[in-house]
Amino acid sequence: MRTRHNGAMGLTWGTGAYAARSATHAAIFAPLAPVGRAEAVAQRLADAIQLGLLEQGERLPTEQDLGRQFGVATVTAREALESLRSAGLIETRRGRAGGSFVCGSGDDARAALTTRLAALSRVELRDMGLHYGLIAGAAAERAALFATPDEVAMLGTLVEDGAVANGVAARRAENGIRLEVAALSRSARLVSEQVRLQAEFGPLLWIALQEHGVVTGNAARHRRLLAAIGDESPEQARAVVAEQVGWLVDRLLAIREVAER
Amino acid sequence: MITEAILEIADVLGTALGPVFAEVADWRTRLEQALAAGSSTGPVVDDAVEWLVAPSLDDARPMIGAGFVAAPGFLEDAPWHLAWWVSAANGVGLGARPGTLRRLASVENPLDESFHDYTRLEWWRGAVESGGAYLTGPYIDYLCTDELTLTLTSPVTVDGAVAGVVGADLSVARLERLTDGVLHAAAVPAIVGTAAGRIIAATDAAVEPGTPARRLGLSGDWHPVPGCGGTLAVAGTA
Repeated sequence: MRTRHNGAMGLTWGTGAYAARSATHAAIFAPLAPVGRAEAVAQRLADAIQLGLLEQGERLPTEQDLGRQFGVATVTAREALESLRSAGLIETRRGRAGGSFVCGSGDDARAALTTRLAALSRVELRDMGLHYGLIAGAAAERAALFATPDEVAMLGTLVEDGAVANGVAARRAENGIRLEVAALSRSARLVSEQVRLQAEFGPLLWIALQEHGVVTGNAARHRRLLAAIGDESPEQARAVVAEQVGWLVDRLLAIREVAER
Repeated sequence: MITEAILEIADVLGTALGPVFAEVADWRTRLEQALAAGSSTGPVVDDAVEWLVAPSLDDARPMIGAGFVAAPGFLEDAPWHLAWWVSAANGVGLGARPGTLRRLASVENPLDESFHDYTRLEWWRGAVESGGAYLTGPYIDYLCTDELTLTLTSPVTVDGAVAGVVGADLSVARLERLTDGVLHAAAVPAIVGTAAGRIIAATDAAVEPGTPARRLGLSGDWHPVPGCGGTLAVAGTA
């Protein structure tokens, strides 16, 4: 049984965004590898804040809950929260309505992500893009074999919501679309690999989804992907994703060039 | 002759799978009785649902999650409410760590907003619109099971109105153990499919669960599996 979570901010979101949001949370709170340490937890949460997936004012789970969800000790979760606090990404309030709250918006924090981008070599970026594209492409290929018209229509809602979104909302929609396509592959391992890659590379890859031209270009590619899945054309679906991810990586490289100067 | 062989497969499958469906039907009846008694709150429903479903979530069974999802506004104190338990074998949210019988955590996740629109989803709509048992999937449920899943749901009605949906998540991997024996012994090639036209098992091991049944050439009509509320049927393949 699968639930989709609507938001208190729901009035301003399209229906697809609800699904994108819950998918997003699944990615953010996916358990880490057993070696997951405080830095890994802090990085995952910082990415989510920088992308605006966790919004300004949102309350984070308690140290105990974070530890449980990420599969790390409570002290490790506490350490991660401390580093986020000293980076000014969260603030902690005391009392009954207390807890750790996100401060600073996704767009404020975009600079931090761009710095991380500049620190990566072009070789590393291309390699991440290749890996991401292969997994997403394989998921799309399988989705074309299994998707029902209902499922294609639901994906269409996500795509159209993402097409008219900007910045944070566009990136959130991108996250949701990728996870839904992966789920349509009906492979549990492909889904978990997609979730893992999304956590690792998604925040960087989607920096490019800031400019209007990139958002609309990306939406046009999603429509082609949907058409291929709807036509039950696996080769076409895979090809669309390969081209799309390559194109996003090129946009990313261009942003990196500017950041380096 | 072929039809006879298919009917026999359906009968034997009914014997294997019927108890699972009977269990959910029993929960439905009991919950309808409990809820008809008067006003209900989240904690009261939670206790009743846990008492009903927990024994079915032991390790050997195909059920890896089960519970009740309230119709919006039905409960006095919780406009949207999920009382859902997952089994020790259900790996959702655990990574590779060992699990225990537990309440589905997503509801308690403070990062989720207070609102859950599950009434647009197939497992809700299918049960409410048909008024009876409905089988969704096989699909990958990355929020509740993390594996290939069939979701069986039935509406719970009180005074003629839908109070919610009761149901169970069935592991397709675990159902294989129930269906394999029957299908391996089958005299003719056949597939088992859901009412929505999805294959869940086949005599031909190369046919993947989840494949649309229309992709395979059928040699005759669909024959319902007895005791499964019309959600499952068997057909011969060419």
